[in-house]
Amino acid sequence: MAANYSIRLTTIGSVSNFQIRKVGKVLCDFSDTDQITFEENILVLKKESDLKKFKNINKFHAIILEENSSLNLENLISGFNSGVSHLNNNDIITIDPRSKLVRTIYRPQSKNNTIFTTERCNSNCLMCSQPPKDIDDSYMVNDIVKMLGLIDEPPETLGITGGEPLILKQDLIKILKLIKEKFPSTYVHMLSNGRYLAYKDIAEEIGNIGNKKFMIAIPLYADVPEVHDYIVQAKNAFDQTINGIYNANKNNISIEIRIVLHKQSIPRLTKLADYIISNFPFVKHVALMGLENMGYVKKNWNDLWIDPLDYSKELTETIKKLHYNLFHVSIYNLQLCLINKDLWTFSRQSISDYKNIYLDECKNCDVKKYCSGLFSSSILRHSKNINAQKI
Amino acid sequence: MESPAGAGFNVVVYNYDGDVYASDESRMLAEMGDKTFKIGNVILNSYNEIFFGENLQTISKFSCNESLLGCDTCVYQTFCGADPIYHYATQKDMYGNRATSEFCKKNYLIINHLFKIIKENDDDTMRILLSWIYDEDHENLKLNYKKWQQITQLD
Repeated sequence: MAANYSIRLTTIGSVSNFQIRKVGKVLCDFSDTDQITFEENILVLKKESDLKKFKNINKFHAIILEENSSLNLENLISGFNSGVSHLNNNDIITIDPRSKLVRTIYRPQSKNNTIFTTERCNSNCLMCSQPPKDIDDSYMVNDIVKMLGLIDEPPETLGITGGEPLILKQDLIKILKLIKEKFPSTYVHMLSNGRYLAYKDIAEEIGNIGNKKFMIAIPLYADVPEVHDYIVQAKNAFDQTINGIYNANKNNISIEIRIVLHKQSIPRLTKLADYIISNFPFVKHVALMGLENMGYVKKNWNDLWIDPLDYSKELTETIKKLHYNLFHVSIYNLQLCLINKDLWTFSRQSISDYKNIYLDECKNCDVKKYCSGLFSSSILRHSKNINAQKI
Repeated sequence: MESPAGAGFNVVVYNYDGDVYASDESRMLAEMGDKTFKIGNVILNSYNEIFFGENLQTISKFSCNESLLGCDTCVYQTFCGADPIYHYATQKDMYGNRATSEFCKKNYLIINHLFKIIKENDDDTMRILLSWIYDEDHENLKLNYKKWQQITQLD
C-alpha cells in the first residue's frame, strides 16, 4: 500500500460545556503569550495539566483539550480520541457544540484555502465529489464573515466553493464585497455552475463589485443540451449556463470553463472545444479535469470511469484546437504517465495539498516532482497504467 | 469581399471636384468617362440625396449574392461576396453572368482550396493557417515535449 499524505481537517470531541457555535484562531504556540487576543483565540492543549500555564483561561473564546477532562469550564471542549495534533497556530477553526465537530476552515500556511459556502446546489452532477444536501446551512455565512475577519495576512489565492455559492445570492455578494475590501491583492476563484448568472441582476451586482482578481470557474460538459443536462441531472441547465457565461462576460467577470473528463463527456469533447472556440473567445482559461473518486463518483464509477490512456486521442485533439486558437488550457488531476508527452506543458499540480498523494510506483519516477499525483481518494481506484517515467 | 457588397455602404470615395463615388474602382471608371457609379456631389446634393438616392439604390439591387443567379445556389455563398462594379466593368452588366465571371472563378477556387485544407486537417497546415489569423509564430503554437523539457530543464 502507498502512503497517505493527506492532511486532516476535522476531529471530534466528546464533551463540550458550551451551547453556541464558535469560530476562532488556534493558539498552540505559547512562545509569545502576550499576543493572545482572548475573544479570538481558541486554546489547544493536549493535557489538562498544561492549563496551569495560563491565567484568565475563562476569557478564551474556547479551549480544546485532547484528553478527557471533568473540569467545569464554560468554554471547554475535551476528549478528542482522534487527536488534535493536526491543528497549527493561527489555523481558523469552527466548533459545533452539538456534533462536537472541530473543522479547520482556514490554514495560513496553505496555498489552497477555500471558502465552503453551502451544501445546497441546484444541480446534481453524476460525478459530484461533494453531493449536495438540501439543508439549512445558512449559519455558514456567519462563519465565513467571522473567518475573514480573523485572517491576518492576505492570502495569495482564495477559493470559493460549495454546493452552489450563487444560491446564497445577497449573502454571497456580501462575502465577495468583504473579500475585495479586505484582500484587494488576493486572487479569488469561485466554482459555480453559473446557472444563477442567467439572472441579469445577479451577474450585474457581482460585476459591479469590480474585483479584477475575481474569476468564476464554470463547468460545461457538452456542446449540446441533451448531454450537458444529463450529466448535471438538471433540465435547462445548459441554456442557463450559456446565458450565465454571456451575462458574466457582459459584466466584466472573468470566466474559466471547466470540463470533467469521463465516459459521458468524452464522446463530445472535441465538439465542445469547437463550441467554446466559436462562442466564448473571451474565456480566460479552459481546464480539463480528471475524475475525483469521491461522492457520487464512487456510486457511478462504471458509468464514469474511462482510463485516460483510452481518451488520449480526444484529449490531444481538444487541447490542440484550443491552444491553436490561443486559449489558455490546463490539464488537472491526470498523472503525467497517462498523457501524451506533447501535452505535459499543459499539466498542472492541481490537487489541493490536504488530499494529494503519490503511489509506491511513483517513488521511482523521474518526473514525480512535476506530476499532479493522485487524489487520496484514488488510492484503491485508479488507472492500472500508472508507471514510473524515465527521462 | 462581402455581401451586401461594400461599395457605397462600407466604402465611399470623395473626388477632388466634390463628386462622390461608391468605390475607388467607380471613380476610376469615371476617369475613363463612365460616371455610372457616381452617387452624388457634396456641393450639389444633400446627405440623403447621396446615400439614399436612385444611383446607390440601383447598385444595392445587385449587391447581395443571395439574389444573384449562380450565387443563389452556391455552397460558398456565405463565404463569398458580390461586386456590381466589377461585373459592370467586365460584362457591361451590374448583375453579371456567373458562368463567365472571373470574380466567381477566382473566389470559387480560393474558397474551395481553403475548404480542402480544412477538411484534410493536416496539423502543420492548420497550425500555420491559424497562426496567420492570430498573428502568432506558428512554431510557438506547436505542442511538443521539447518545450516541457526546456521549462523543467530536464533536457
